[in-house]
Amino acid sequence: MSKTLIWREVRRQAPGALFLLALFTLGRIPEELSHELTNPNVLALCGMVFGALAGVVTLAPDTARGGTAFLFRMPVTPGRIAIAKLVALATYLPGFALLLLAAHAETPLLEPAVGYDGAVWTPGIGKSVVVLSATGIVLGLSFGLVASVVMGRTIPALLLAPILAGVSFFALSFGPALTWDLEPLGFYFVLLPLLSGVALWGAWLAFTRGDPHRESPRPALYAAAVVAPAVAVLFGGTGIAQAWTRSSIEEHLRVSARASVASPDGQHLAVELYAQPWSGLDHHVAVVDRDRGEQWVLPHRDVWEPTFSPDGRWLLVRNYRQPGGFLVDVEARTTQALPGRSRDGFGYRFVSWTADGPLFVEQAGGSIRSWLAVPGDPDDPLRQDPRAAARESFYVQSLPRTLVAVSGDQALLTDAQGLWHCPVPRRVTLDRGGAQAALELPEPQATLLVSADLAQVKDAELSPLGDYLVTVVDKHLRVFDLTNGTLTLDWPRSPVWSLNSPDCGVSFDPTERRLAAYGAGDVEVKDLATGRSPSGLLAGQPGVRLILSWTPDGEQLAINAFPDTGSPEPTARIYPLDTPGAVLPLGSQAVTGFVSERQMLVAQQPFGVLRLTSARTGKDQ
Amino acid sequence: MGVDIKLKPEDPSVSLTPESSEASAIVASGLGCRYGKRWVVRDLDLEVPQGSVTALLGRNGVGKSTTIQMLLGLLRPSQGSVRVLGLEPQSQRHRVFRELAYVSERRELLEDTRVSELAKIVAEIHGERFDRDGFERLRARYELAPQAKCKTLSKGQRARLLLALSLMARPRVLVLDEPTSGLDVLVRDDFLEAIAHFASEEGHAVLLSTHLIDDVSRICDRAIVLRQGAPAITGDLDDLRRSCNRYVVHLDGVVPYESALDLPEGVVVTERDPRAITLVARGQSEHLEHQLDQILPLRDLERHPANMKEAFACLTAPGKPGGAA
Repeated sequence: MSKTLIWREVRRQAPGALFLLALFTLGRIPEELSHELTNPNVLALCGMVFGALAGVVTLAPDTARGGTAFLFRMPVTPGRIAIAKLVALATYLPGFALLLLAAHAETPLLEPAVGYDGAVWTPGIGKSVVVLSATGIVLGLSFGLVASVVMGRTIPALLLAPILAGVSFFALSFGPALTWDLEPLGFYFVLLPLLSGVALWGAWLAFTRGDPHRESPRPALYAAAVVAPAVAVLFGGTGIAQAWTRSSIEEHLRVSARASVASPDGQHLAVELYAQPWSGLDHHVAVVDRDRGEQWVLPHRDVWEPTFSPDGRWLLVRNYRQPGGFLVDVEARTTQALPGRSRDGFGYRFVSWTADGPLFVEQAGGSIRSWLAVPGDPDDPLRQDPRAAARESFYVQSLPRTLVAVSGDQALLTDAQGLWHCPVPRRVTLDRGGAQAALELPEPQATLLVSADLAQVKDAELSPLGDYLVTVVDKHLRVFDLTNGTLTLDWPRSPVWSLNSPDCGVSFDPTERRLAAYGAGDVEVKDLATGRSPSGLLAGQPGVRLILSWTPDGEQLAINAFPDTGSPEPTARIYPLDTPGAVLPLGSQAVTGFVSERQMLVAQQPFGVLRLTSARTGKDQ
Repeated sequence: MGVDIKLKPEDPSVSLTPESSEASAIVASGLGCRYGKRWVVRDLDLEVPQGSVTALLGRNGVGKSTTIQMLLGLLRPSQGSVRVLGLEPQSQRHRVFRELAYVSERRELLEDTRVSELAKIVAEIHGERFDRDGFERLRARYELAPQAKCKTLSKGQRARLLLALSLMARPRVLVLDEPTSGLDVLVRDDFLEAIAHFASEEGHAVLLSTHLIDDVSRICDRAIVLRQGAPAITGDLDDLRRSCNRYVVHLDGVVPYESALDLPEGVVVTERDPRAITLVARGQSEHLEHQLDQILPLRDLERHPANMKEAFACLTAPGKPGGAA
């Protein structure tokens, strides 16, 4: 084989290989990149894009402009030509090795999967790194070849090939998921290699059948023609893969604990789970009986925000994307659907356990509806309690005040004069003859909190103990001390559009001495007494969703970062707030809650399993 | 109404099937290629003898390039067999190309390499067989800058580079597909001289596919004429030319220009005036005058030997599928 030919191929790949190396030598690899490299989806996608680019660089000039035809007329076998190309691709190996080492250092994903007899585990992650990289590269090379032949020129092909790879990847990812709700294993270990093999065959056809006499899309059509049946196999033959891979959440889903809530009596633990099927995320809730050491997962998907009743017997979970929820009898392990009365477009927003039971409040614009849910009748639990019937269909738009927040026995209302704080209304008169209802407020008990123009109040939230109120007004967080009605803190912060959403919100420490605000990937803590920030800006990771947990004394804050890519695999850090700059990085795990100042519950790999670890060291106890 | 054109039985140099020869570099038998249900080439028998320049002729779309691809093993035949220097090109392609050089119509090169680098690659692949000094001499003669990148070369320069690379690899067979198209007169003469020298002095075989009849006349000894829907014709060049005659038909009256002439099959009009039509027909037709008299106001008929261009027009005229020429 010609050394000059091999050197030529190596020389063509050199810029890409050097770029990969420069990523390490000129600057430290971004932490979030190394973390993402352990995500199988990202691995497959990166492999495809890399393969596509390399395919274009390696094959485009030769295939599209006849270089392949030139080489094929030399006394050399196609296999030796292919070897020259592969040798050239090997120039990327050092860079890739460094990338994988960085990924390995970031998380232990390359280690063999750990079996677990409990609920959830992640099998074959180590294999998936290899399989996905390899198959992604093979697919990418095929796409690069097709793009080269179709476009005929290198630069357009460089643009087209990653698009082909990306579109195909997402089509293959989402298609089966939308059709059969298949889980990842079928895609990763059965279908992707199958498709890769067929695509490779098509690429080989295109490579060897390149028309030596005229430019023609025919080779590309050959390749596309064999990819098409592969897609058909993918969609038609996944019944087999489905039988192999379909499993319940207790067995094979990739699951990560997001947050945990203990019942007031301490007997039960409700764990909010991120579970990853083929694409996107499912939200599940698991209930752990700490005395018996048993756990079970609610048989409902897309539920979140578990809330225990004051007596600990009932658990309320909300639907994630639609109104309604489920009322769970944690002893009997039965669930009762609480459909939102919202077919006309409302969505309930507040849930609060009152002395009479859980209170649901819907709000849209200036209108509010509320129900008192009473467990017992699975057909219509909202109608069982006469008081609930009496309270049904409140329509308070005509009232002088509008409810904006409710927590416990307290409520916040707005009117033209300002923002009012008052107890939850107890007495109701209802005009059954018309659409309007009257809400009788205990006016003397209401406290005027803010007298400014409240048209700009976007959101309001009460602290867990009810001593503070946070409002969002004109990109400011304003904290009011409800005990004396004073403005405690005026905190300019952007972006703030909500106080309780996955992207943006606030969190009081359990002692209500500090307030943390999160959003846009960072967290800032303020001391409510002094208005100072004890530790500066924390986290600072863009493109993540943050979940915060406090130690009971409010001295340490755990920040869990979940990537926005759909992966349920978190990273966590613990910040001792009295020691500026100090941080305890926990790597790929999530702190779901603190048991005490010294102990915490964390989700490690497998992420659906909670472990009791030291809050000081992060080590198992 | 058709003309019963019969070849002179005593003419041995023109035949519908090639003579068998052990000295042939390329031998194909019953060769055919089909795309779907459409046959592009069918039942083709041919030979390319050593020491000769054989022209591959035919109209556009008749399958010349497809034939060459099958001969070189670049396309799998749908039927028939091919031997190049006794080798089966499909399975022994790299061995075939050790003895055979091919200059295609597209003149493909490794675009991002320089002339000297490309020569080095070819030399390393061919090993000692490649004449590096000879290539340098030809490169200088063809005025090819060694540092010039292939993608910057003109069409003529690419052809000269490919010819130089091909000749210096010392092949025993040279296959050229439209090698002189786009070349200026001087380069073209040089090119043809090199090809003729390769065949005559070194005794190797050349298969030349071209549309330029002048090139054929100058250097080719034999020709294979591919025809749409009819068997190919093979023979020495002079015999092929002599197998056709030009007829000048003087008319007694005027034939309107727009009127269609229902001429017998195999007869080709080369010139047309209001009172005279020039035709070319293959072989010696005993009934041509009688047949023309029935469809034209015939006054007189002159017969002359056809030149090569006229013979090409006549020989490549479409025939009836399976019909005899």
